[in-house]
Amino acid sequence: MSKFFCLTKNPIRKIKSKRKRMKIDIRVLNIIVLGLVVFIGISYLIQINTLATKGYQIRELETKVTQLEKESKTMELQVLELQSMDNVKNKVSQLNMVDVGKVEYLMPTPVVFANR
Amino acid sequence: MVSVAKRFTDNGIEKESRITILTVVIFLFGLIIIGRLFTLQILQNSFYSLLATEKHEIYRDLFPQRGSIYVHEGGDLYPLVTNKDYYLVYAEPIKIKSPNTVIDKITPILGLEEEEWKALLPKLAQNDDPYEPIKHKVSPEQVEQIESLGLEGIGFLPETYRYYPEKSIGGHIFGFVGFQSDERVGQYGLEGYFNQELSGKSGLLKSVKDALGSLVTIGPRSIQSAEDGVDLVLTIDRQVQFFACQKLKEFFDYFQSEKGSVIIMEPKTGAIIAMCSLPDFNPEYYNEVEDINYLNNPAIFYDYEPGSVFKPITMAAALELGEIEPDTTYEDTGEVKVGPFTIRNFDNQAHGIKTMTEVLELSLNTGAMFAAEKIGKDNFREFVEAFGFGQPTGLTLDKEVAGDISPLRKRGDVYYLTASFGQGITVTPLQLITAFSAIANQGKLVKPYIVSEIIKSNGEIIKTEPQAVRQVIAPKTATLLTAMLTSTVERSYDKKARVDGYYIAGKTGTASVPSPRGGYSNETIHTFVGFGPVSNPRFVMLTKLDKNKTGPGFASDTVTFLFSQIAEFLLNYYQIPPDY
Repeated sequence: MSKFFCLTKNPIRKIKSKRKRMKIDIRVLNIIVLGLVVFIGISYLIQINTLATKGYQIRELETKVTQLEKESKTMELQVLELQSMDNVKNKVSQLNMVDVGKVEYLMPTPVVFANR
Repeated sequence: MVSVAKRFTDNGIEKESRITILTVVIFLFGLIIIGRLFTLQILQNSFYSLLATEKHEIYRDLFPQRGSIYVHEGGDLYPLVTNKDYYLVYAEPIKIKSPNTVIDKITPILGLEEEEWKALLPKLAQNDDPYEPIKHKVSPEQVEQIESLGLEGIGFLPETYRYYPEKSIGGHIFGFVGFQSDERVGQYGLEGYFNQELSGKSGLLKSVKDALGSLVTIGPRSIQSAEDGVDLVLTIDRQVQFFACQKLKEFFDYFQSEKGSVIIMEPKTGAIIAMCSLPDFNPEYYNEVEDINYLNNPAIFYDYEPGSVFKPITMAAALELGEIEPDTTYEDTGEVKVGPFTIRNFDNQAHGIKTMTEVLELSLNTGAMFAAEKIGKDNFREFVEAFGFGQPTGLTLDKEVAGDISPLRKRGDVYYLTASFGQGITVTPLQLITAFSAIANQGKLVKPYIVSEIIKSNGEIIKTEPQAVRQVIAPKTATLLTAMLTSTVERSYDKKARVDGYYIAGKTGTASVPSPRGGYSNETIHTFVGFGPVSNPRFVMLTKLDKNKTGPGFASDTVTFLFSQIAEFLLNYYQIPPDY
């Protein structure tokens, strides 16, 4: 028997039971929607918090990089000061080193062959 | 009726349960927010200190780093001028409750003089003053000490200053970075010439400000980052520069000279290897210079009558035009009459029959005039111009003058005849050494340069290629003249410029200084320009001392020694085997 016949056979009872079911459905639906709102809201908050925390962590790392760069730059400047010619000159006298004297260049002796 | 009441009751329970759920949800939300705030504000307090450091990062983003100046050394770049971070310590008197306590605490750390802190005290006591600078150029260590005191109303702003690791290589090449109004501007030397390129481009910050004018931390913001300035790489050799400056200082002090210069150049390329002048200045403390004229680079800024060191230019012109040969003779009667003027040799002596080589060896004015007369006024002027005199060489340093050879265009022969032995016209030391480099470089004049590379902030490198200006004299003429100049160093007064084992070509000049009253004073300027080894010149060098207060009166007894000592160092430094 088709569905049409069933509905036409006892229409009032069927509508009543459907209304009852729909009433239950709406309440459940409300709870589900509310649950979803709470869940999504909490998820959103967690997500935002996580992102913010990550952002701060990145910033902290960036600051650390900047700090290390600064320290590296300070050390570079110290190295430059130590390598400066004035400093080297002072060290030369402190270490009792002497100037280079006359430089002797060794000339390669031309190879001579005896022709009998 | 019953059904209506029931429906009412059902609705009431339903509403109540909804309100309860809503209350629970809001409570939960509130709890989460409170929890989060507790975490952020109490447990993660350090994050807020990070926000405070952002000020420094914004500064870095908006203010470009001024480019550094390097030299090549052992395959690496070695900085001669770079940047160093300091701080400006400022006060916000509006926030300071006890100015006396603040002054007491910061004075020993900042090393404030009594006058300084006494002047500062009333300023800090002004309750309506929002800002008062205390001290510039404060080191990060000092800032840390002040920060640890936790003083309210004391703030710090990052500042960058130029830093020069080498203290004894002179300031003329670099110039300095000074203030014009509130802006930092490079002046003199490389800083002046390349100011725009070294400065870079400032960034742009768009942000929201609060009622007090401070930037709102969390708000819409856009930053267009600054573009850092270019780096310069110089042709200067740090060790040669240091040695040349040390030697110049020795001679400068010994002869109590008014000015002194040493320039060393590669004749084949025009690359400047060293350029040192005295009196100079410390670019870090340029404002403490005794005389503002010391800021000018004597090697390029002051032109002077060069004297006999100009004679090789006259000989080059006459040799090139075939009017003389090295052994061409003339009779030196000790003087030449030009109209109403009588021009004599420096020693007022007549030397009889002399060759052109002997003219250079004995530095005879009459012989130079003989050669100049042979080629005529116009030809002489054309050669002087072709050697680059009368116009700036184009070296990329601020500020170079052109010298004055305008007397060569005047009517009357006396002007070009006196110019033939280097009087009556003015040249700069750089023009002189550039002209000699043409003789050392087979007659080809090259443009001197001091910047070998420009490194842009994006890593792009622009290299300077050696630039030939023109062929002034034929290679044969250059060879003949080199031989004449070698003979001058080997045989004449100028032999003090010799270096044992090597052939050096060169010529001295003892120029009389014009008197403000007209004519010439007793003061002299001593110059020697030479190059070596003559078989394959690796360097051309100019040594110059002005107005010596003590010591001999001729260049052959002063600057020749300076040349010889630096030349010996160079020959060893370049590991050039001896000629004999």
